[in-house]
This record gives sequence, C-alpha cells and structure tokens, in this order.
Amino acid sequence: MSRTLISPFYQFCLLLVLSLGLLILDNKTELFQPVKTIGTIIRQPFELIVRIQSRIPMVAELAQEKSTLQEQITNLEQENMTLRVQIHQYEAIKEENERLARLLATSIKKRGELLLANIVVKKDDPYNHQVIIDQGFEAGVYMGQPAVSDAGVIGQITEVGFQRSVVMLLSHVSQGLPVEVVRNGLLTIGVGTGIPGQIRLPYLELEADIRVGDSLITSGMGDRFVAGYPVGTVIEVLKDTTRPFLQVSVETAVNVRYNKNVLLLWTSEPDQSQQLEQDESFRGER
Amino acid sequence: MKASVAKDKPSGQRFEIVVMISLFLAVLLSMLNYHESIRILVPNWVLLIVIYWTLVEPDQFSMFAAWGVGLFLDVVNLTILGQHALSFAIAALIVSIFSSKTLHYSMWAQCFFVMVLSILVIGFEFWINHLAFGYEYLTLNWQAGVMAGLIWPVIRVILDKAWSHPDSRND
Repeated sequence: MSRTLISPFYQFCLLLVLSLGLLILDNKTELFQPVKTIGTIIRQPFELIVRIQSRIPMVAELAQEKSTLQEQITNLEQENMTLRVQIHQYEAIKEENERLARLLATSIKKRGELLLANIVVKKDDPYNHQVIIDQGFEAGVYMGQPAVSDAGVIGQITEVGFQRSVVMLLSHVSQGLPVEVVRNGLLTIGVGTGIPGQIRLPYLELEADIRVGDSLITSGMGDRFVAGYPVGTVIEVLKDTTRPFLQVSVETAVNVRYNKNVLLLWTSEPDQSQQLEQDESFRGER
Repeated sequence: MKASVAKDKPSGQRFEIVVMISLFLAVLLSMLNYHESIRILVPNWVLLIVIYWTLVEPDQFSMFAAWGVGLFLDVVNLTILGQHALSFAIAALIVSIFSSKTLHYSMWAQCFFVMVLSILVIGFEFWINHLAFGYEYLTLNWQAGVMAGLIWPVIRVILDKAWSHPDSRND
C-alpha cells in the first residue's frame, strides 16, 4: 500500500491488462479451479458469523409462534401419513415397472443414492443464480451432480470445495437441461434465462405442440439427470412467424428462495475417471 | 472534519489495521442475509470502503490495493476472477482524478459523486456479466447505487472517527 512511482494512468493500464487476462482465462479455462476451492474455505469464518445473524430473528419467531408450530407439526404428521401410504403404492408401481422393463429387455436405472445438504448462502447478487451448500468432496460431491428438492430440479453442482459446493440454478444462462413435455412426450432442451425462477425452450419449431400450462419433467437424455423429475410449467408461448423457433417461457418448479435444503443425487457410482469425464462434458454443454 | 484525517500521520501499521478491520466488516456486511424487500437496495459495502480510503489516503491506499481488494471479493464470492478487481480499479482511477477536490465538496456533492461512481461500477459489472453470460438488461440493479450515495455520510463520519482517534476503531 505504499506510494508507487508510476502515474495513475499507467497503473490503471497495467491493472486493466491483468484483469482482462484473468477475466478471459477464468471464463474460458479451468485454470483457477483451485483458487475457487480456496475461496470456499476463506468464506467459512464469515459464514459462521452470518449464520448467527440469521438465527436471531428465528429465536424471536419461535417464542412468538408456538401455536403455529404446533399446528404445523399436526399438518406435517398428517402429510407424513399420506406420503407413507403413497410410498407403498409407489413401491408396488415401481416393482411392476421393473418387471415390465425386464420383459422389454431394457435396463432400468437404479434408484440413486441421496444426500441432504443445507443451503448456506443465497447470493444477493442478481447476476449469480447460485447457492452454496454445506457438503463438499469430503462427502463425495462431484462436479455436474444433480441437485433437487421435493418439488423438482434445482440445478447442478459447478464448484466443489472441501465442505462447500456451489449449486448453479437452472435459471443461470449457462445452464441447459434436456426436458420432456408430460402431456405428449415432446423432447427438447431448457435453457436458463438469467431471470430468477425462469427458463426458456429456444429450440421448438413453430409447429411444435406446446401450450401454456404444460408440465415439464427431466427426460434423462444426456445421462446427467435421472428421468422424471419435475422441471417447471410453461407460462408463455409466443409464436412469431418472422423467427424460426417458438419463444417459450417456463416457470421453474422450485423457487430456491423458499428452500433451506437441497437433495444431491448420485445417478451412478462416480469413479475418478468418470468424474473427470463428466467435468469435461459439463464444460462442453451449453 | 475534512482536514482531521491528514493532520496526524500515524504509523503505517495502524493504518493497515484500520483498513483491514473496515474491509473485514464491509465483507461481512455484504454477506449478511437481508430481507427480500430491501435486498435490491443493499449497497456494495466494500466499494464504499475502497472509495473512502482511496479518497482520504490516496498515498497509502493505492489503486493496486483497490484492485487487490476487488480480487479478494471475486475469490470469496466465487464470481469471475477480475470482475470486482477491474471495477474497483476503475473506481480508484476516477477517485484519484477527483480526489484532491472531492474532499472539499459539501457532503451533498460527495454523496452525488459516490452515487454516480457506484452506479458506474454496477453498470460495469453488469456489462462484464453481459459479455460473459449474455444477461438481459432488465436485471441491472441501479437502486443499490443510489443507496450507496445516501449512506455515504454515515460511512464517512464513522471512518473519519475511527481513523483520527486511536481508541475508537469500531465501524
């Protein structure tokens, strides 16, 4: 922080060149991946203090709303009961499904392993459609791993630290996801818009059969996501005959603002070489 | 108030401690969970601190320091490396052009200066994201820049106090 002899203008030119170099290298290559891992470690003491802050209003709420909590517990118990019943039905359907799949001689995907992670930080920055969670490579988290909630797909892991990872949300513009329309099985690709909670379907030709209100699920193409997880609902279909494709907006099923946890899925047992391969394919996808 | 900072030339070590504490608190403030309704209004705390130090102590807090702080922010926020670094360097350059005069402006004029500078930095960071990922223009968050201008007097008074009296270093 001492005085430098070069004039501010030349100082700035030097920094400009340095910054542009960093920006381009970081955007186009994975050279700085270790730096990001260090970043997640430096964050931890800050997060500790932030977590204390986020508990303070909760304590007040707890004292205030004991009756509401009681009510919630009763509701949850009821929901739990219904879900248990549904699980039994689901198990039966799954078995039947597996039997049918065997008959058709197709391999059905093994149900993946699950890991529950807490969301530690939601970014305030409107350009960052990402959340940080409290599981890292210590727990076996890997790049490109799908993150879901009970309502549907949230996104995928893009940075892995020791005990922290970054989940890039579907709405981030760099994200793409193979989807399927539930009503008619139409396959296409959903792409992030940069608007929170919204994706779009840019590759549907003008004649495609899609309507407002259609539900989308993951199609399982590309082997990243397990098929059948809810993605969102079509909220707008614009047909502009001067353009080659329809403009379709989709509201994502999960609004991460209301989520405290995410579930991480293991679609297959990732060994080291496969993991690397997945990293590569993730970078290539867009 | 304006001259109180330049009067005593304390040792470099104390300067560094005060700078570090102020920056630490600013990073912490920027990581707090704000309520949904005010989230869009939260100013870039670290930028305000960087503006303050480049304005008040341009000899000790150089453009390189501003750049370094920006780079640190990029690392902990997991943004593209160089995004905050370059925007902070730009802010420091603009401050260094005006610095000798700005300190003698009235508080209102200073607020306006900080506001314009903040909006400029927000616009620049937005532009970088636009180039890197193709963000649309509706996500430009200019309200935080206005808020930065409004909150400047508070930052100015607190840091002036912390910097001129060795005993009170609370931000």
